[in-house]
Amino acid sequence: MREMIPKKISKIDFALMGPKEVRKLSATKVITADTYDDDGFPIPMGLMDLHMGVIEPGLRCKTSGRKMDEDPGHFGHIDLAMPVIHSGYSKTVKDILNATHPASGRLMLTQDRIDHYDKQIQALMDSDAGTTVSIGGIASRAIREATKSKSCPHCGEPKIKVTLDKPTTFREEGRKLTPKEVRSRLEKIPNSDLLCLGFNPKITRPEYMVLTVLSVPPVPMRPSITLESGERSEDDLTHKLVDVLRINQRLRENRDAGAPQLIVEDLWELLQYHITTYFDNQTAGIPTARHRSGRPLKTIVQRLKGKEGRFRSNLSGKRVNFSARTVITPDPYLSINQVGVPELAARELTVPVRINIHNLSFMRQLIKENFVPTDPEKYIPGINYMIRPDGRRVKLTDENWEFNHDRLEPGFIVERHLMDGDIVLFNRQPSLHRMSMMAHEVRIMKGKTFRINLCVCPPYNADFDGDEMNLHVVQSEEARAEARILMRVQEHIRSPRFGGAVIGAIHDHITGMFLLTHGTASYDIDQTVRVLSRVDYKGELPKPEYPKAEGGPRWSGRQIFSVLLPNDMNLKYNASVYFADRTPEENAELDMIVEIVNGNMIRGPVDGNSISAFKGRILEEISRLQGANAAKDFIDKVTRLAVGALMETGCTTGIDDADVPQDALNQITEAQIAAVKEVDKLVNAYNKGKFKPRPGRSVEETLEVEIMGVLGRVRDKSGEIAGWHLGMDNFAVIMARSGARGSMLNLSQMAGSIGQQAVRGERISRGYERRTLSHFNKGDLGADAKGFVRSSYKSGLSPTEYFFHSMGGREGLVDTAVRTSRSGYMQRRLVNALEDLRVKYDYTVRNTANTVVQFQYGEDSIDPTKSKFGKAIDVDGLIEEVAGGK
Amino acid sequence: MNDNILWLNKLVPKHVLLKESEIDGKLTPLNITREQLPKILLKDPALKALDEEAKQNDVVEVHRFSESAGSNIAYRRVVEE
Repeated sequence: MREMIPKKISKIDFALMGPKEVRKLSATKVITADTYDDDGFPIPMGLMDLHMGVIEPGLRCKTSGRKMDEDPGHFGHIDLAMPVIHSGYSKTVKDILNATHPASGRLMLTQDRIDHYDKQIQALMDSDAGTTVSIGGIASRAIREATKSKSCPHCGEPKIKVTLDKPTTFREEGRKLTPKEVRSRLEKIPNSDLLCLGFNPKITRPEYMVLTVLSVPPVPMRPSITLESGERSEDDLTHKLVDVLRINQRLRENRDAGAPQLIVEDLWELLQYHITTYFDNQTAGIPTARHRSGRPLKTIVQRLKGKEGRFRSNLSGKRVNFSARTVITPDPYLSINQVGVPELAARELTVPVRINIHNLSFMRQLIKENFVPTDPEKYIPGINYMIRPDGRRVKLTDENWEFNHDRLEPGFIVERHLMDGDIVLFNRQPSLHRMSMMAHEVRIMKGKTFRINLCVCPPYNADFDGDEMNLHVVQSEEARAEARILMRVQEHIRSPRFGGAVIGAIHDHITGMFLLTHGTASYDIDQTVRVLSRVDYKGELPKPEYPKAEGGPRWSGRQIFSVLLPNDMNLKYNASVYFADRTPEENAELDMIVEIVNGNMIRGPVDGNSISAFKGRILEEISRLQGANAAKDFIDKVTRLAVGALMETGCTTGIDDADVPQDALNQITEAQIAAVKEVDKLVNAYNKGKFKPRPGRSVEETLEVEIMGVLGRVRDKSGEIAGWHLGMDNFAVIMARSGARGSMLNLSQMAGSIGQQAVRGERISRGYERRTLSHFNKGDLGADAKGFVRSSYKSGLSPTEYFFHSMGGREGLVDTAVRTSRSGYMQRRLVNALEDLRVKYDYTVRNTANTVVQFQYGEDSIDPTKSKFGKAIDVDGLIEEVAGGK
Repeated sequence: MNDNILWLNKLVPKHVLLKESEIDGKLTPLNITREQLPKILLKDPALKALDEEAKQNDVVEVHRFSESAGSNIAYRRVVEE
């Protein structure tokens, strides 16, 4: 199948095609506006002439003799009765007309200047690629300069300005210029002036922008379709060409018969209209050409342009085979490297396998199993097609499988169904970074959804509210190896963005580990064994921490967790539950400091600061020092352990987790009343003009800042009051403090008070005249009138509060909507600018022209993926290691 | 470096115009030819502020501050436009 490439392309010139070339390229001249005769046979010299290619099976092309699907077709041409402006070039034509003198055809620049520009363009033409200066840029400067001159420096005559009535009418002092006149002016420009205008006279000439002959695209480019009724329906392009031919014919007849000038001109303009819309049916300033049904015709530009056009839809983006898409659902028992694939999909997706003496019997077994299953419940991969050594594809069916089973031999290729362990690419749109497409190992499963481990949700930004994802089966040995080495999930645990883990324990995993390991939590032998069995732990149990406990020995959660730690790990850090507002001693007392000595957890709970993505210290340490494999193992096991621990303790939250005693509510109300009073005092001072502005601010601004400060403090205060009564026996608090989900602010807004609402970073100020709502007095600057919400989410909001809260909420929604589209386009431009840069072996960053963009990658040659948050060396960790912690 | 006001701005890095004899010694170890260098316009204010007069195809050494490495040296080839 592979054809040899006979010649190497060294250079491509893009230029206008002249009439000579159009005729040379043409397989036939088209003169008849008809397509097929009564028998349905293409009319010679009609638009479907067999010289331009065939679209019917059985017929042969009269130019190349090829059959339907072998022949790409050949261009034809239409000789136009009168010249017509090419609407795509009308602006260039105007510029050139204005830069040259009509009588002499000379460019209105002195010979000196012409030589100057010629030299620049010539130099550019001689140089290789890799420059940002374009010939067009220099030419347009030359044209601009020439347009400025009042008279021609060559003949001395003054020039007259030509204006363009879009799209194709030229005027000179109000008088219309016919395309014929335009063409003859362009013809006059001597070759010596052309280079300056951006034309290479050896290849092209400006008068080619006025058409005398129209190229007709090959028939396979505009195939007609036969409807069910047997009626023929022509392509839009063919329709348009029929219009062109018809008017062309009438124009020629009228002109030759000596018809009145007016009629000829009208027809001429009509021909211009048809040719303009044939190129672009959305040309500004002229009505769109429509089908009989009223549908606008899809002509050449419409085929190419936009999202559904040839470029974006068919060339940049393509539909692919060996892919699947379905809804995703979670499965915590899968490894992060795996993906669960439904059997239904697995039987459609195939991997080509070349038969050799080693896999021959296995493949035969697969064929047999699939047609005569021994256990119908069990998934056994089958074979859809086999490809014989001569390249023929054979589909395996109930009838032929036995025959093909027997003749299978080395050299055949079979297309085997997906099976456990196959490597596939998994992707979720929008694909914003490289972690949006990672390689997973297949696990065939019942059901109809793709199953993924929960830890890979953040990199894909996936959740399970109906998200769908795509799966691609890589087809070659190289691709499989590449995917496994470079794209596997475990290779992406650490992010190149900031040198930390992006895949780690989330939500329940963190809650679970916290519940397992916090405080003095301990487990009897049954529980310990049950939890440890989740991680396939093999070996002796550690010595129980509480050997003499009532009811038998008990193990601490930390002991259970330590099983997963490498023996040489030594760490000391603050847990996520650490109270930032208390002293280290107090925190140590409360068991908020984590200490690991020789792979044993001595104290502290395992929470977000230990195992979560982005900030988990233990995860960070293992993934950086022990490698991707160890990190994958750790994540897989720690999450299973957490799920096991949750099964022992349980965890639930509800509205009663936001319950605080009446006493505390009273305190919050008091604090709010005090704050509102303070605000009133500030407002009073302002109203009496006693308020002093702060440096650099107006009095009003100062007042706002002060009020915002007071109200911000009271929200913190009420949160604090609520917080005192929300202890670590509260699951909502455990989730918030351990870093699993939610924050203490969320909780205090539910239990205490929601606080000040803001629009554009200021207290709410817009609405009615000098007030936000008619519930307040004009000019009221107090807390309630400007969006302070005293209520909590649980107690419910008053009507005015609700309104202010909605205003603030609306701003948040609008902001995110605007931000995503804007940052998306920003990123697209950045990616397009950087996509072909690469780091060479000498650590320079270069582009495709091999020019240097950066002399040393990142200026420090450090791969951020392997760094510790951007630093090549973890100095603190090294000191700790060498000095032994003390 | 002279006392041109331009150099007082902390965002303007130090520029050094290399002598023709120095250029090969700087570029050869880096395995970079002069054509592969990033460009700098002859009319660039930094070139005008130098003591020496730069001309087309000269090479300037730019000592930049680097967030990641502390300092960084880049080379740029002077072009007319």
